[in-house]
Amino acid sequence: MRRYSFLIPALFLLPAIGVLFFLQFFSWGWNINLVLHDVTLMNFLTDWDFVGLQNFQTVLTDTRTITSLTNTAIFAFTSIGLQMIIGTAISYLLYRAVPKVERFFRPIVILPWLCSVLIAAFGWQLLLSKDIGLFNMVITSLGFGRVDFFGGSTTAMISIVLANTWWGTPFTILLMGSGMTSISPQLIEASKVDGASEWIFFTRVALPIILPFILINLILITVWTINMFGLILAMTGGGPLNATRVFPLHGYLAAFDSGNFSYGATVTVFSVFINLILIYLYVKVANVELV
Amino acid sequence: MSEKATRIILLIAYSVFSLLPIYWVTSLSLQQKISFPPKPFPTSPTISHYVGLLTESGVLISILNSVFVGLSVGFISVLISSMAGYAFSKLEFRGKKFIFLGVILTFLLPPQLNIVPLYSLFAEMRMLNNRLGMIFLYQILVLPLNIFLFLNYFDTVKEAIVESAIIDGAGPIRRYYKIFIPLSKPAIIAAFIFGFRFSWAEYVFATTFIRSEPKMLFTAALNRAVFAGQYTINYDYMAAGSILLLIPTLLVLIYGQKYLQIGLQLGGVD
Repeated sequence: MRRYSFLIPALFLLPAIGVLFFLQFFSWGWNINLVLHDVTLMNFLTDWDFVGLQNFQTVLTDTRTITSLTNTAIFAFTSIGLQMIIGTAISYLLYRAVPKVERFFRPIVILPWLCSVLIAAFGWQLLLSKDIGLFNMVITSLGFGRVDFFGGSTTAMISIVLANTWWGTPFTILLMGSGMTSISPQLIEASKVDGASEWIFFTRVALPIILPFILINLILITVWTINMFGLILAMTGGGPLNATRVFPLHGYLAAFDSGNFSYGATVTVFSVFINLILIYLYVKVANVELV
Repeated sequence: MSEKATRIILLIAYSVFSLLPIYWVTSLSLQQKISFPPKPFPTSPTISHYVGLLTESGVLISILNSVFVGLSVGFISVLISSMAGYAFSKLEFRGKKFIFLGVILTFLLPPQLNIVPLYSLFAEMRMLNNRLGMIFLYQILVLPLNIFLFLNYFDTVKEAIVESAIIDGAGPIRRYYKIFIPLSKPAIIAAFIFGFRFSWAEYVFATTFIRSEPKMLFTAALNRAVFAGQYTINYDYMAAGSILLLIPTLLVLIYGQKYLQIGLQLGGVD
């Protein structure tokens, strides 16, 4: 390939890269600006008071910060666990199915991922609702009292985990699916001849082969899960009593509900930092090729 | 029970889980009166909730806004991401790895991460409550994926075609629009679908960045209609609105699956 001087590549790159880097990286710089000043809904277009690192102190001494970090840990741990287990299992089942069966089920299991998170939020809200929910219809027809899923802190957490698992699992199915294709059909034949059961084959033969994919998948869905808040915002708004207020939602609500932009910006700094660590791991593990 | 039967049963069980919210939303959206206990099926289906939602002030125009924004995002992202993908695939230049690393970072980082500084920046640029501002903002949702898509697609173009064009004296700019663009119809369609789909479905930026009625996007207007009452949720609108939101997705699944698959493969997801 011929090397070009700066002009022609710049011409091709500038529109997309300019827009992208402005939105992503320039906004990080701007974020520092917000952190170092006291910016609220009242003064965000006028003069800002310089406050140094005081916002870090405010965020770190706020008990809601600890609550939101705990919530994030619970939400992420359970969502990721469920997505990994269910997603890997389903992609294995699809891999072992005959093509006709696979072609039938694949669009069905992928469908949630193609939906807006707003559909996930609304759909699960309608399923779990105390007023019109399918689950409560079944619960009452069994003779029990209605459950207000969004009224209790544990049930609200379960609700958002369910919705997030529903929405996110297809990604794991897709990614693990491409891992499964690297298991050669001869291996299946050989283990059949040896009389190995399905379970033995899956755990002893398939799993070790797809292990690198599991790692990559784990990092990717961790990044997406710890940052997920649109779904929660639409489902519970962080309630009841901050029980589903996860860390990124904590920053969002501080900025847009309480009008404290600097607080939200400070939370963003922590988030960016955590994300960069995870992505560094991803680049190492996945051995990302840089063109 | 044979292992094969167990496998099918497990797949069916997951499919039920997968389809349950969609089924329930559809069922509720067509039921006459939504009250407890709900009916499992709509006995005498009605479209009154849809009519109600669409005639709610600001909803119909918000759908038009979302379509306009979605089409624009699709169009612009195809144009500029194909150019960037071409540069990454076919041109050598200094700093390529470094810039590419930035694209990967943006691809992996969730766009909502930057919502606080972006809001403040957009306020400074007087681009809040602005549909053109959203077209600009939504590029972050789709550009990284589309750049990968074009990059991988252009990588598959045979060297021989490129070389014969070079012999004919075609420079890099000419090769881009005379050879690569005409060859990449599937990639263009896939990238366009992504652009439309991601902006159509986006909800957090939409509810935060546009608050004035005639400019709202559909997800925001729907959310507002559902939660208009202080202490009550309008379940009728919630159900009907979800189905309206779902329509483009279903259309893609039915008519555009081929392109979706191509897109996901090229985008490195599948």
